[in-house]
Amino acid sequence: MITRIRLENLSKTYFKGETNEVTAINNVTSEIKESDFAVITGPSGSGKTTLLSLIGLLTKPTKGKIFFDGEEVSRYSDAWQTKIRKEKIGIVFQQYNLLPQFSAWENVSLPLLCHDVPKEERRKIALEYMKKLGLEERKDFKVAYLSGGEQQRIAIARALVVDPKIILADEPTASVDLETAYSILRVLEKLEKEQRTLIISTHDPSIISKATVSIDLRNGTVTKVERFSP
Amino acid sequence: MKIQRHLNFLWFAVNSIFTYKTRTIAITFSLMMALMILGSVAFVSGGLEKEAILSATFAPDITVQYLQAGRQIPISMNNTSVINKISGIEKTIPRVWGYISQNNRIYTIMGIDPAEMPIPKEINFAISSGRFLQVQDSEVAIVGRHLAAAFALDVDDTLILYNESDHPYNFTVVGVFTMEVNLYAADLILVTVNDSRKFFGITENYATDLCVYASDQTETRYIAQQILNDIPGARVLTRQALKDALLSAYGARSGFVSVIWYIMLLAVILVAWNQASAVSAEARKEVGILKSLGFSTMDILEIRLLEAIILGVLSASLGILLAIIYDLYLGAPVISDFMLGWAAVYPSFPLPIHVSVTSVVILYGVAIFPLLVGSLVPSWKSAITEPDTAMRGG
Amino acid sequence: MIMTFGTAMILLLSGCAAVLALGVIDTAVRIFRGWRTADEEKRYDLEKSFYLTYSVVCIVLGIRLFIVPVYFWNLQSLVPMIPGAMCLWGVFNALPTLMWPNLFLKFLLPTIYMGWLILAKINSDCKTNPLMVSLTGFYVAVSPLLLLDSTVDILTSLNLSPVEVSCCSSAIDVGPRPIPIIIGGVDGQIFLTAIFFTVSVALAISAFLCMKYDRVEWISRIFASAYIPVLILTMTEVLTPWILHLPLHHCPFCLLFQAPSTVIFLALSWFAISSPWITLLTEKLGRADEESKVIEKKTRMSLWLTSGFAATIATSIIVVHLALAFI
Repeated sequence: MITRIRLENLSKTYFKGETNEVTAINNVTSEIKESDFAVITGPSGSGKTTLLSLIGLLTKPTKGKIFFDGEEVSRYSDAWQTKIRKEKIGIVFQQYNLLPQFSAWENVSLPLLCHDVPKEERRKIALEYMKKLGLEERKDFKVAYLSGGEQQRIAIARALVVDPKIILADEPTASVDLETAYSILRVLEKLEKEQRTLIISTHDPSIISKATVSIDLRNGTVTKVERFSP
Repeated sequence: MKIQRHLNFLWFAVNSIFTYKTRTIAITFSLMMALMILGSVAFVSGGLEKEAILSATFAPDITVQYLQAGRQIPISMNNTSVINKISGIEKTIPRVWGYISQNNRIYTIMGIDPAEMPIPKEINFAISSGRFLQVQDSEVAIVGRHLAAAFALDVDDTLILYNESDHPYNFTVVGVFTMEVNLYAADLILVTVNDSRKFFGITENYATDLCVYASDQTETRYIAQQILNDIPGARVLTRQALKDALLSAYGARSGFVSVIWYIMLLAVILVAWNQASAVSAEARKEVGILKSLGFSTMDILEIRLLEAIILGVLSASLGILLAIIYDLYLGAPVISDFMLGWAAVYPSFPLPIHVSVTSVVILYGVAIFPLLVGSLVPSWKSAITEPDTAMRGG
Repeated sequence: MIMTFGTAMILLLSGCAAVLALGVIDTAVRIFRGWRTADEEKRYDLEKSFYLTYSVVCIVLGIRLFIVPVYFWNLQSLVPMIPGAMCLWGVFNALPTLMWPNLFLKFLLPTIYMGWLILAKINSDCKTNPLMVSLTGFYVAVSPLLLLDSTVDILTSLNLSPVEVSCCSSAIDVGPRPIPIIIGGVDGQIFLTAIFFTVSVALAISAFLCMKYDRVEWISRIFASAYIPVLILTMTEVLTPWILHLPLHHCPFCLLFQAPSTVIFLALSWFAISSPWITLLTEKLGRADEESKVIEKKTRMSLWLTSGFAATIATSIIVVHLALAFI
């Protein structure tokens, strides 16, 4: 299998040089293959979210390199990294991060705004993904009128709408009930079958049990990497 | 060139404007008020200039008056032959006019010779009802709109005027001037020169002033200079000079107000800067979310600047509308007093306004560009927010 | 000083443009000089600064282009305030040391401004800001002219005063005139007209041909350059007198005032002349990577099309005017 993502001696320090300097990630080296279902585990504060941010090119590493399909993307300009994020990466946040001024379908279609897609087509594509996630009837609802589970599924639909190769999810089942967590898990399994690379930070054993690779973080350092056969 | 992305951002910007209502209202209100004042000055100035140009159209090419001790006195008709000898003169016609006081108001009686005086085609715009004076007319008058209203006069009504000896003279109203020339014709009574002579007791050897018409308009200045040389003590006014003096005065006044207005604009820019800078944590997080979804820094900047442009257009539109209401229906108090600024007290009359395409375009320009300047740095600071603020929860 | 609404607004906008243009020069120089040798972290910071520079320059150039028609409108409104002035000629002569050079700048600099903005559009249509260094370098080179443009406008607004001037006839209508006499004697006007139409038609045709054949580009640019003196001469010696029913040469400003559609003709002529030169800018500065090459080529085609259409429509306007003048 092709290596989709490679991390080499990756470190991230916040507030470098200041009195409140924090090293969130320290010297992480790892590989994630093309169709991997990777989970990042570890206690709170271990650096899971920061690692996801680095992989998602949401922040620059203080040291080290990140490779996507063999290209060193960490040294790319902000514009290049935005291009990669726009075309290849879908992100699901722990706190959903939906924009309250927009309806459900408008939130799902947000990534398409910078893809030269006209309004009618955006709506059509958004409804397609919402239908797959059983949310079609909620399409015109404002975010405030959606349940937590529905919001999380909207966030997943939003991440999928640009058909990304890589999906990052930060504790996707942390804020939802069991039933919703189960439905989210089924969505993730389906995504794995579509040959996408999934990278999920989680404590949820049901998700961990489905993973093909597990990266364990403690205090910003990788303590264990386990690869499971499918 | 791809424009769909920009249309999408425009849609997003419109939504943002409705989301951040406090900022929208603060900027729109302050800019709207500023533009209302500037627009009001521009429209009043334009109206006065237009009215001055139309009124000047009826003036002769050159007006020759006689001064003694700095005051105007009747000019001898002998000067007509002196003037007519100058090359380029088509004709010289006497005009007899003066002031009367009636019902505590001062009116101007102007006597002209309709047989000799060239009538410009713009006369159609100057007479709203009735007709102009004709060659055979006697004891008839065309009155200004204000006078017609004050005396409840219409065409075919009789106007009784008393001269200095308190002798009554009856005039039949044959025409009423329009609003467009109201500034200068509001209190004007236009009669034949013979009627005017009788009324004021000025003999045929004299006239109040002489109206000189040139064969070639481009020669007017040279002819005026020649008249000055040939008639010492004369005051010679060209039509162009009259028009230029009026336009110059209105232009200078509007310029003065415009410069003072800079201070108001500075205050508005500070409001815009302040509002744009007071970006809440929620707004910063929104930028982080958008960037994590694939929006680039340029895209965010474009959205923020589009918001400024929309607010500028909205404020300008409202400001222009308010300026028109302020000028047309309220008479532009304070501004009109300053713009008119004559020593004489005018009777009240509807203020002329002129909304030109150029003024409107300039008003939109001075609404949008300064707002862009005021919002630029705060917009940039917002746009360079790291996308991982979304991951970290703001 | 003559201060009117228009003058006050030009002063305001020129002041804004000058301050902004000055404020961003340092950043532009830092980006242009530092990009190639900068490390990743430095480049990241420079890139952030570029976004501000880019936005500022877009606004400054937008202001400068907006001011061009406002400037001429304002000068026209100042005619009554300059004793002796009967058209723009008189106003220009009220402050000749500044205003005649400013007239030249008002035709030349918008070409450069449009060039930068078109390059900026190409850059924004690409996903990765490939023209960042070119844009900042171009801005650094152009900024002295930008500042000059704003400064001259400010100085003109502050120094123009109601001095006595002579009418344009004192300059245009006097003295022996070599052209069009030397072209064909008394019929020189007809020959000049023929040259004008030949050059304008050649410009239009060559511009359309450039959409297909790169080899014709420099020929079109030569026609565009030749069009400038031919236009000025023909306007003064032929178009103005013929359209205004005067026997001989006359001030072109009188034509622009008395036949307002000729202003559109002049604006279209400007587009026809400038577009070929803007294509040279985009060709040299707008091709940093594969994506920008594709977009630049499409842009260049649009510019040639604009030049061709502008020249065609401009010529048509004059044909209509002359036809109406002779009917």
